Amino acid sequence: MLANIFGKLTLKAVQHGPIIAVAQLTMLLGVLSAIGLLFYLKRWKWLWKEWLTSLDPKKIGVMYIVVAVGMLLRGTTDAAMMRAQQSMSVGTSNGFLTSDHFQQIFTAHGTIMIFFVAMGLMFGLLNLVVPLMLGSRDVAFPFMNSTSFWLYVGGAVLINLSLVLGQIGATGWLAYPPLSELAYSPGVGVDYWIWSIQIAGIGSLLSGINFIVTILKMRCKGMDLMKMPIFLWTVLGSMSLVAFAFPILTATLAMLSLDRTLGMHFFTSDSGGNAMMYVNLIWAWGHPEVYILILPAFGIFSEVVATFSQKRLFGYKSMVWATAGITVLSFTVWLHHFFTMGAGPNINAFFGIMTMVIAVPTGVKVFNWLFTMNHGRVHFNTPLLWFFGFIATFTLGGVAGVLMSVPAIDFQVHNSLFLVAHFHTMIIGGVVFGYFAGIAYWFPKVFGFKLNEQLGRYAFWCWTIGFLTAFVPLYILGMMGATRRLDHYDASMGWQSLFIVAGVGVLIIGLGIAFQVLQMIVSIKQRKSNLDITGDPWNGRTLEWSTSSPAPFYNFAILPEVHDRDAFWDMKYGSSKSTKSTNYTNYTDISLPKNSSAGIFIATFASLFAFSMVWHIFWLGILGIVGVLVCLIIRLSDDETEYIVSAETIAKNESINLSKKATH
Amino acid sequence: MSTDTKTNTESIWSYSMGFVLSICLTSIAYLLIRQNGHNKTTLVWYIVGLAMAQLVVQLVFFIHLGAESKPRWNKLAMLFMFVVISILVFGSMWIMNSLNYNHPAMNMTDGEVIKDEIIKR
Amino acid sequence: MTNIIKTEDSSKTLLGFWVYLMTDCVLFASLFATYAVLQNNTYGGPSGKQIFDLPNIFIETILLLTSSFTTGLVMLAVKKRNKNTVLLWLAITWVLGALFLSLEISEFRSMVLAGNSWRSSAFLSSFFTLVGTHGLHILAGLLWAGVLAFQLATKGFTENVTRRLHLFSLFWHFLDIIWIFIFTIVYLRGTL
Repeated sequence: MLANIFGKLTLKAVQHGPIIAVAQLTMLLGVLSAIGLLFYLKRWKWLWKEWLTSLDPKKIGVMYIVVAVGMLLRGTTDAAMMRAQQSMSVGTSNGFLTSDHFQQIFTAHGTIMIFFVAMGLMFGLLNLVVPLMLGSRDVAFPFMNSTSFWLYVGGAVLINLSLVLGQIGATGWLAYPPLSELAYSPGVGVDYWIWSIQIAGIGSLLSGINFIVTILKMRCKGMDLMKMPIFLWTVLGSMSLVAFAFPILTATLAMLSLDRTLGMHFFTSDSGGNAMMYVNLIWAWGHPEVYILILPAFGIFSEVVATFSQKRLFGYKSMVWATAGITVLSFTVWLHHFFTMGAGPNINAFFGIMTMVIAVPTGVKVFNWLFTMNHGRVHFNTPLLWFFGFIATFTLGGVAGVLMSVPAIDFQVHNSLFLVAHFHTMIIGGVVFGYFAGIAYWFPKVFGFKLNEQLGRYAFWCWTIGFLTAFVPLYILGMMGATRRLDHYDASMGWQSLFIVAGVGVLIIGLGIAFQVLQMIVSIKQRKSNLDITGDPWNGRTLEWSTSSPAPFYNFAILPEVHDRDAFWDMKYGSSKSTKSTNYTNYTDISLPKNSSAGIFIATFASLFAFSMVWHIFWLGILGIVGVLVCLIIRLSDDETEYIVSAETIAKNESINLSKKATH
Repeated sequence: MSTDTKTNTESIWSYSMGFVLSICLTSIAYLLIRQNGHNKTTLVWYIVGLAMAQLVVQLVFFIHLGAESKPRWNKLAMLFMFVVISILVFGSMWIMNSLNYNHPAMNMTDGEVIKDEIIKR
Repeated sequence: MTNIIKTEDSSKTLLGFWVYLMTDCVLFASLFATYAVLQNNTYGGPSGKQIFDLPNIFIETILLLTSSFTTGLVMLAVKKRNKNTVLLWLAITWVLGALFLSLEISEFRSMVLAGNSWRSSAFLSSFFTLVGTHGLHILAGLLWAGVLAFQLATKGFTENVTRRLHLFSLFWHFLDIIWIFIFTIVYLRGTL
């Protein structure tokens, strides 16, 4: 240990290879152009003040989404490489990837998509929407919110660093032992995996606590829980799952790390270790994790369907109960991920039945959405299109899931491409489509102008058709016996044509992504003609639409008071119709959090600690821990963390906004 | 839970009572094990019961759970926590023990397998 | 206006900290579950019965329990805004906690020197990790108490300091509750 000042890190750690080099160069180019642009435009101070050190959740939300989209590009590239390999690597050909590289790619793909794309998009949307929808000015713990974001970035940096220096694990995105133990994965790959998600995971856990307290304690006056928009109920459910499931991940990753670093024997194949306990624990976290991702997507659909049907959501109470049911039940099904591990008929039967049961509340939600649209004035805007895509695909994948909840059937398709198709249908058709709907829906609120509708439509169709083209062949292949994670197969299997079709599907999805990028560019160019002047572009029902677009930095000059569900709709048309008075002068001073760089420093030291654990650099580890503690103590010794926005400033700001609306 | 509201449970009486009760419960459990006068299962039930009792004592007398005003989010959060950890701990024990059925651990004998499968000899 | 926000802060932070403690319970539950599953996997090495020093553990338990009681006395003094009494009981709590930790470290040390380390078997790995994680929490608590004492001494009973003393007392009580279960399930049951 005291051998080398850089621990195990040597120049040999820099990865070589033509394909890797392309990835490294792309990343380098991206980073350098960002830095270059900042120097050229002289925007460093602006970036630091306006964005990086801001504790405004509206800013933090945008940053989350930017990082998540960046990681989406890497994850999709991994997917494209896998598809290409599997289309080519038949019979005598071995494709263009070595087995080891292929294994690292599918590991990186899964890890990045779940932890850095899905979780990132989710927390991004939550930051942007939750305070506004609650009628509040901020989340409960703004500084912790910032720290959570920077810890997420730290994790992302680590997993991207593994592409340059070292490797990522070749173990799959959940790194089962004994393969992930030191004996069979002696390199740094698994350590990079452990520490990047450990750091990001702590950020998620803190955010879970943050949003729970925000929703329970910061609702505006009159907003009882049963008057909250359903989106907030699903967020509450999801964040409860985050708070109570992520500690299991933290503990399990720590134990694997202790096995690898301190020679312990939790999951080793000798000295009494039990690798199956890892599988048990990781899925006890892993199953709630997928519900963490899908619940907010369900919530988004509830808002989108109601808004674009110009009709109240059908069955509010049953939606609340369905959400609560899903939240609790998601802790009772985790064994269905390892029916084949041999726990016997009684256990398999119990968990199989629970898995079937948890499908019921989701069914309740689907019917409620459909009943909402019934007799509504339906507007086929892009957000609602994503909902239709979701209905088509998620239902398909959902029934595949119910099929697999029967242990006897699962024994046939476990770890086959049928399983892979199922969970991608859930995640793409459910989570990704849901978050895309949310982004399209709330984009005007965040940036002040609408996205180009036509390009959004093209993107939607490409994604939906592309998704079906990419994954329906996988359902078939799974039924034909194709296992997951194959980097080569026999020509006699007759699978190649289906793999090629799947590859074409990914290309169509890629076209969809291209349309989304184009949509962003065109929308920005056309923003002046698509301005959202009123702040309410969709004739919305919830409080966020009562502010200007973008919302002022203090969200609400006067905190709203609500009397009914669909509070804003009620204010516009209902009994709470507010008299529009432009001479409202009852503004009072508001206290808002000051900017803070503490979150950045804490996350940097935490990431340095993580890096030191990967490469066994002793002194850096100590520095990391001490750094985190010192920064925390400094920040928590600061008694002046807020600043006052005077009533005059608010009055001025509000009158500017009102005059903008008037001259429209 | 607030330090500024009048909670008459936060007093020298509650802390002292809690302390004395906890000492008693701890000592009883300790002495029971040292004496080892009952069979193992009974003893385990006793000490677990004593631990649960001490948990309640400390929650009430030290943490003053239940003294807070509505809405009682703390209680709800704790309830959910108990549900989750019960499922996690007992579920894991059930699952891992059943897994031993197909891969018997070194301390599992043939006799147990024969009994489980009701193999007739 | 600002005052209203601050009192709101207290109840928000209290709830937030409580939720964090609940998540910490889940973390410990994961370690307990692992211990429950692996405790008999001694790989030919000693079991708990052979290496636990129960009288020593009993002393540790009484020390920690007493420190939980003195934390209550800290809170009573906070209520009366009596700075010196708070500092006194905080110091006593700190000493009791440090004694607990030093006994635990010497227990670990003697086990390792006898050849029973965390590398020896799954049982020992899970034992050292479960009990050690609790010990790390105690260490964090001692550090926190030290910083709080300093802040109280220099700034007096500000809103922040008062609230944090309350949070610290919750944390310390919670650690003693976790210890009840370690004492019972690991040590008492382990010697049967």
